[in-house]
Amino acid sequence: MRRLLALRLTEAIVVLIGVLTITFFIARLRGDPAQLLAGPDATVADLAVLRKSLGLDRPLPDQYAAFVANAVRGQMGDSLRYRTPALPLVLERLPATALLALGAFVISVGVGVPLGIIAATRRNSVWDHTSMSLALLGQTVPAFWLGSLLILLFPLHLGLFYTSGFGTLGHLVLPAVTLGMFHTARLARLTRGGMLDVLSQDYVRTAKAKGVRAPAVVRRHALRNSLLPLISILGLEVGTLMGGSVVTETIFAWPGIGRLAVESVFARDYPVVQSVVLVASTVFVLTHLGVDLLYGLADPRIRYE
Amino acid sequence: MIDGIVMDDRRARRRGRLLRRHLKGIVGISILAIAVFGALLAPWLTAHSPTVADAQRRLIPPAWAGGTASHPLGTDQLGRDLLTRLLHGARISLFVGTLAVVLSAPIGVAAGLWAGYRGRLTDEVIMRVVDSQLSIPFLLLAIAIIASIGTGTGNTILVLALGGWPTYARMVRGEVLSLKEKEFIEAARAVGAADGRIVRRHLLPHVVTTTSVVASFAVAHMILLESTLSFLGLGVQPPTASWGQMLSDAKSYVSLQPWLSVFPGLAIAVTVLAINFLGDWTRDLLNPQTRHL
Amino acid sequence: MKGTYRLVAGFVLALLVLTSVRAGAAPPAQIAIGVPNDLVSTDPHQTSDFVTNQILTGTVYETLARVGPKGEYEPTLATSWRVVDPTTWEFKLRPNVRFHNGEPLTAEAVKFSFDRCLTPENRCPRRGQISIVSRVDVIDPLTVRVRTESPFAPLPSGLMFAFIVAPRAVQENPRALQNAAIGTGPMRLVEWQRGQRAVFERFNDYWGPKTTYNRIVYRPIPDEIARVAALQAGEVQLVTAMPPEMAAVLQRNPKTALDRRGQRQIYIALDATGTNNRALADVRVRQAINFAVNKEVLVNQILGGNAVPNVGGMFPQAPGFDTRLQPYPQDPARARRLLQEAGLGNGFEARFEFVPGLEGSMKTKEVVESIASDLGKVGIRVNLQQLEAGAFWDNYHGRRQQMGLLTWGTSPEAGLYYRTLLHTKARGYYYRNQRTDDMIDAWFAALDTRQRAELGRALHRHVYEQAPFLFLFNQFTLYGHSANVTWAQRPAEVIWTIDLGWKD
Repeated sequence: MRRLLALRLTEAIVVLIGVLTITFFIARLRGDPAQLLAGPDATVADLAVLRKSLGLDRPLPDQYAAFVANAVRGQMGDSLRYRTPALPLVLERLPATALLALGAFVISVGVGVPLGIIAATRRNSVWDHTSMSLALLGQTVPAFWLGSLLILLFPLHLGLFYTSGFGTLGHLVLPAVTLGMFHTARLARLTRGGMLDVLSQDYVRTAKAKGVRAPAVVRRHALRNSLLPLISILGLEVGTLMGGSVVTETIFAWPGIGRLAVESVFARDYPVVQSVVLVASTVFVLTHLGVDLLYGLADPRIRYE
Repeated sequence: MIDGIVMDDRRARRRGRLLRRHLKGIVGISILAIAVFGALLAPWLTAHSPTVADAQRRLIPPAWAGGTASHPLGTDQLGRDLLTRLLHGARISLFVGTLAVVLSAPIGVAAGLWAGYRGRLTDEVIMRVVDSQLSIPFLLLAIAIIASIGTGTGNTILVLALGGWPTYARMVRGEVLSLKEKEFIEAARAVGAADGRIVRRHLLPHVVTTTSVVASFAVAHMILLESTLSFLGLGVQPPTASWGQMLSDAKSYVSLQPWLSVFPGLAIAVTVLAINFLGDWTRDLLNPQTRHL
Repeated sequence: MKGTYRLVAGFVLALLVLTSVRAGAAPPAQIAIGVPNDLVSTDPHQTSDFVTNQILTGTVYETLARVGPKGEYEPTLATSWRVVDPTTWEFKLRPNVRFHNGEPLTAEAVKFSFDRCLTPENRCPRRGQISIVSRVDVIDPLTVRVRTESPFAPLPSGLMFAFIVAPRAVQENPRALQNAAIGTGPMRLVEWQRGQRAVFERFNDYWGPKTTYNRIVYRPIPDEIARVAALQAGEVQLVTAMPPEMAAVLQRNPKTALDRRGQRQIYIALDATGTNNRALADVRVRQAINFAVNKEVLVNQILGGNAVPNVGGMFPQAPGFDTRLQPYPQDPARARRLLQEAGLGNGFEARFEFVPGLEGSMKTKEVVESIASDLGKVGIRVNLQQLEAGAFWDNYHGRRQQMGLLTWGTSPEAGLYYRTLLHTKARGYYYRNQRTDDMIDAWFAALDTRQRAELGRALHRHVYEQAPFLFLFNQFTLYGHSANVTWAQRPAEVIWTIDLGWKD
């Protein structure tokens, strides 16, 4: 177990350095950061001074080394737009995104998994077809459109929940549904598939033949064995949920890092964009690490791989 | 007489089973065929231009809702025929989605084959690059890159392709790892086949099946991603029509002119659905074991 | 399994019940306003963001003079001013004015604020807008003299972005205004949660009439559907940047009302220097572009009548507006003839950059698509480039544009606009003409009203003929508000909190 932990930790660190490298080079794909920082009125002399103070006059490998060294110490530079350190700006927005992702996660598990189970246990019934059609549909609607429709339907016509903003649980419902829709649908399909596989296994058939009632079979045998593989998928979902928050947060005026990223991209505020990427990736890597270790604990076979 | 009925019944049942088995494929292919033909033949199917505005004909509702027969689906906020724009939009949406996959899949497959077959350091390096990229939420990566390199149809495709390759790499690598230990590879090695030959002749054919299934689903995903980028203002450039562009432009008209968003929304949904059907069907056909994936 | 279902069903039901109990109507003590983006900074010398200015100018930061209800300049922190000599103005300051931190308003504070923004090292984005000022001198504790580089008749309006900040707070801590706003205005900032809300409360020591409500909350809601829906659902009482096609929705609803005020000029800057596109250097080509585009369609169809065609880049209320001039009519035949004369009978290609919703411009995408379509009909093949604001300004200031959609906000003084954009000594990025420079200088130097008007008319005609821009229209800014909110009219885009109130 300790060896596994050490291995996974090393991998995580290597991956984060990889992420840093990617963010460093994206910002240098076009344009001179000094020009952006200095603003339109800057003279050539102003630019030279600024370039020197930012270390932009040094060779690229040096700049890269400095960037990584600073990032490790949590220094991502100042936001060009807010003119304050970039990383704290991102971190103060992180809880909102985490809450939204959690909400979406709860909905996708709370709705997707039961839907999949119902579909699998009543295969080819009306239930199966209805829930799977719904699941397919959920994967075909762009989130920005779904979000707008939900706003028009619920707060405006039904007087339920809020159009936008952050605060109570009621504010969370519509954004979480919007963000979670795609994953709910995916999870429903995956659960159904996993269940069907397990239900066709010999031991389940044996249990059934021995006269164990169907719900008990599902509960005792099928559920546990078909949900185990889902855990690793759920770990991956965290990353997709964080990415998807870009759209959802923009529509529902949710004060998270996704919206911050979009606004910063529009303002060419690169230090903030880089910080968002770094923070989101770190969260992803850490969650993944956690899931990996949990999985290792839950399933002894993994340890020997 | 009785025999005949039984035979007919059996045949009908077999036919029914066959139909049920291939229903998704038939529906998926039919819808996609319509979309592709519509896209290809767009200039000949309608008399209108997809880009020339005509303000006198703004916001005409569909023909059955009080519009005119010359604009069967109505016109948009600039008086352009909606059907024409949908057909031309199909070109962009399908083209962007398909090309993004066509570009990313081979790169990912090559990387995966190489990493899986070579193992050791090659594997480590490639897989850590893959992990690094996969740990950056794709949409964040996409908007960051587009903000740097600028918008445009070409850049949209580039970014989508760039985002797609690691998935294939990871999947193919996993498959190669399990194939590598199989007898036929061992045998090929034993008779002294060159690495390149083993990869091309023995590994590639095996991974092509799963890759093509995953790739077909990916086209649907790319179409949705393109629409999301358009919504954020980072997709293809106006006046070029893409379904995503049309849908996001129509958003503020949704209360009073709902047809503007309903048709592009339906176009996206139906196409994505058809591609998913097609993906399901090929998967079932090629590999019955992974039926439930 | 049944138990699980029941549990899930119960949970969902509980969630629905819990969350559907919505807060009742906001107490009349508070007004909430939905705006498209958040405050960028609480320091008026650190940003020129459109929304930030809309918010902070109406609440916290004041200037020596401001736009009054009839468009005139009314005394604000100054009570009176006079011209000492053509380049020197004397302002008498209002006595007993206090900043939100208790500091008194003095001549030193005014000088400090000007210096702060004019010092290049401070990278104040407003520097260009007040750069006509060369020096500020303190005469006595309540008198300052503002000196200009050259004679500048419309000075009070030229100072609409010269915000006065509390000097001692900033001297003690240069970053004092980073998370706090310290000005003299009617509301003070009490809470700012980035991306969520900025809360202001009535400043009880305000020198002028106080607001009838206690609090005002600004909520950034970027999506226009969500913003308008928030108003309809009663979550906010006022929204800015309304899309015109949603106006009808508000007008139908008895609980909401539509308001249009302020004028913003939308125009397309053409690279008249020809550096990036040779064709545009020819005045006939620029006129052809103006003849090619149908402004009536833009104004009446796309903007739903919420704009008027612009004439020669001036606002009609400006002194020196030549009423005999008419907007360029759409005349494709004439446009083609002009192109022929310029040797471009086969048309030409041009890159046209724009930012959707730039500085409150409405239906930008539809507008540029319509223009591109019109230009295409006379043979000008336009290559549209939708950019993010950052990239757009980068290209604009970097003098890399051929055509770009820009805006100019309400100010009764067209002169400022002409000077900033056309004068070689100001931006003059895409237009250089000695005669225009001379005419602008002469206009500014004229302190006599009659003479000014005459020189202004000549300049107006000159710019109209030179067509440095594709003149488009002056759009009204659309607001939606709750029917029980009152909002006194003032021809500006700033949300003046003193003009807002609740209906009894």
